[in-house]
Amino acid sequence: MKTLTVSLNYSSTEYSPTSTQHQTPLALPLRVLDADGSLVAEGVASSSIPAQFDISHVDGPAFVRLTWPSGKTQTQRVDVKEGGAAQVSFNDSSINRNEWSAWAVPRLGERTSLASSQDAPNLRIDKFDRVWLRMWTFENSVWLPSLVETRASYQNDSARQLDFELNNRCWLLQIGGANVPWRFVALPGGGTCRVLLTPNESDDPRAEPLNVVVTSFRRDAETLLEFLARDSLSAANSVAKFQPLAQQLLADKTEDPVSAIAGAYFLLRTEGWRRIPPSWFDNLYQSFPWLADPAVIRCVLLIRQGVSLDNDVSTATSLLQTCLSRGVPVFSEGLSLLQEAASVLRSASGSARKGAFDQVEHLVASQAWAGAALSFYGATPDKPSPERMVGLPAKARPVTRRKSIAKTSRASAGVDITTTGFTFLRDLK
Amino acid sequence: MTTVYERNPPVGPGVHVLAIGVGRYPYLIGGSGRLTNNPLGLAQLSSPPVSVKAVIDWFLASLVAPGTAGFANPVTSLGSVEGLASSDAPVSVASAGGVVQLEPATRDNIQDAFERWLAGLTSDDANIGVFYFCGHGVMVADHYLLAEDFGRSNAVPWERAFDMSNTLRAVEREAKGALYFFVDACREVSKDIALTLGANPSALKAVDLKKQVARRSTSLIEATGEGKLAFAVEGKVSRFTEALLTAMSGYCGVRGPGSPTWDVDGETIASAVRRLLEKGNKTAKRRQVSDQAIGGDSVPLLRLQAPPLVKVELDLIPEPMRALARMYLLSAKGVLHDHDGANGAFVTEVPRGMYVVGARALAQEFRDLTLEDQDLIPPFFDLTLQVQP
Repeated sequence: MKTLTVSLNYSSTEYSPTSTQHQTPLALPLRVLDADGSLVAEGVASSSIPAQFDISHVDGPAFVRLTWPSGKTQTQRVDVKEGGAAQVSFNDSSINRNEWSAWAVPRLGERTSLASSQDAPNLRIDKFDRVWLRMWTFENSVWLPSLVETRASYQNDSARQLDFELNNRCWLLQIGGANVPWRFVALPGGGTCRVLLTPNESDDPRAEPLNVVVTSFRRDAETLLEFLARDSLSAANSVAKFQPLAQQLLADKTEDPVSAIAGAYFLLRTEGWRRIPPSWFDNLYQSFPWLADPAVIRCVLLIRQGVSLDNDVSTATSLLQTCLSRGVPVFSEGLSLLQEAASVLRSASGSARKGAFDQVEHLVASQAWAGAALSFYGATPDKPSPERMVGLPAKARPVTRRKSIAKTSRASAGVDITTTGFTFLRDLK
Repeated sequence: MTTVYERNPPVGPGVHVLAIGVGRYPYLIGGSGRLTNNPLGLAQLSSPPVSVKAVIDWFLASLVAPGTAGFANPVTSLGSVEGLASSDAPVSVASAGGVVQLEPATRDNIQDAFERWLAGLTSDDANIGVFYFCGHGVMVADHYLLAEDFGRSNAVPWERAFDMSNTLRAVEREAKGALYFFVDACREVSKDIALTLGANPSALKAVDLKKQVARRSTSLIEATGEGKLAFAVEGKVSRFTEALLTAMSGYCGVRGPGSPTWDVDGETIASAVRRLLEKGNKTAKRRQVSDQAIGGDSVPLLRLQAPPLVKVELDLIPEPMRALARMYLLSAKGVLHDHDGANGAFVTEVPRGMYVVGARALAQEFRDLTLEDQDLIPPFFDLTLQVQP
């Protein structure tokens, strides 16, 4: 017998504020391959639990491949003799240039300057000093703007990082600038949240100039969602089998509803929801009325299992409206489900594009990319728009001048965004 | 009707293909008919007829000429192929029974072909459905695809389009096997304009909400990011379709524990297509990307006997040093592939796997360069070695 133990020494990714309530360790998927690249075994190693493999049937060297959510892989060779045991360890020496930003590196592109000790003049964060930020929170069915208040902030040449303490509500961070299209990024409420802003190094033509990465220190749940956001289902499945994560996330929902939502999204994507008692999803929906995601999860569940009565269609439509009346989902996966639900319910009922259906259509058409976090373009959260605006709040202009948007940017929910406060990135302490 | 191929007898699970290419749009800009009131800035396309022919030829290749690279799945063989193409010049494909001329992709013909395809797809729980479309599309929240006769009526122009997104959602409730949707449609109508169009085309099948989602897996792989153009060189196979066919022609695949074959599922194809397009972006004037939405279990579309190949481009700089170097790839199994740098960069193809990659100086002009344990993952591996001064 040949055994292989793989450990993940990523201690720098554990760096978090003392107030963090729902912290879980980082767990990353592993593949053991033979010399041909054939898959021998799959598993997961976390910073607290190593992975164990029986590789008795491997003839010759084995290769262990670790995959980050960004898609980057690290591979190590191991030679194990018959009856022997071997150990492989992946360490964070390539990502811990700054301990505070190490958590974000596995989610960024493989060439991120955050992982490099060399200065990249064209990727300096001070180019974005005049990027402005503003917080929005959903209270009494209205989006209200406020100034950005951080618990702590961090900075190096290539990134700014902000820590927030958020109550049990729907939260959005808005960013914009002369060359940065105005967009919102959803932040998970109910605890500590960290946002890292860094110049985008992707050559994807859709990429925005400033990358926004979000964590609430639920590293297992977030890793699962980051893989889902990139349609890396095999990696997500490996992560989810670890313990098994998704069922546990949902079963522990009363402790941490945000992680439970992540588990539910995974189960809906992989058809694992059929094995879960419906009451778990119902409880998640009933117990946390400040979260929009459980409503769309329950709505899609109802639709996918086949409605038995006309009444069910009304219930599903009502859940769709409830989701929007609670704000917006925290995660981008929720938006895909909103689209699915709105589209089939509208076509099945022959309804016009109005109300919730119209709202969802605008939100989907305005979607932006922030990994697993929901993100969308617009001037105010209640008026998502695919037309991208840049500039200061009082001097909004479209990225491509097709029509004037000054009127659009002012007339919304009674909030005059030209006079509402904002903070420049350079001024955040 | 254009049933290009139908397995006879139709027993056991099969892969059922519906392939549509629309290049001729009589009622859009440059068309032969009366210009519709709102052509959305859309004109004629030369690539879709060529692209749909390439796709159909690829699926039929091993039936027409055994041993040719193309569709291969010993567990789920080809069940049927429905094809439609709209072009000024007729489009013909060679099938096992002879040459078949494809009918035009009007909305009515698409509906008929879809219904035949769906009947075949639902005839066995283990069937796999492949839907391919190349032509104009409009992306709002859902994706609408335009048939040849789009705009024939100014009163109801969208009557001659169809809602691909809801078609997929309807099929998910009818079929129990795996679904592969490949959509190679430009989406250059901006989303803010698209939102004001009032477009509301019907799906090819209405979603029956009384039925539960029954399919085992869905893989939707689409050309370009939303709001971006799908690119093609005039009259050639589009970049997306070319990447798709390259990926499926032995340049991707995973062999699981104990599996005799290298399996190609939606996630594998999507990853390979994305990487091939990214590679093309390095030289193309305009960059193109792809999107995907993968759900459910992994059900392979292809099962290949041979390990997938990796296209390798190994170079060495500074250039004068390259002529003095012997570049090589040494597999973990001990197979050596080497190349004289005097002949330029090392461009070759090798089976996927683990390699030592390096360069040796012919007469010790520089210190040998060696990179151990390089994981050569299909579809390509490119690397430039740098000699330190």
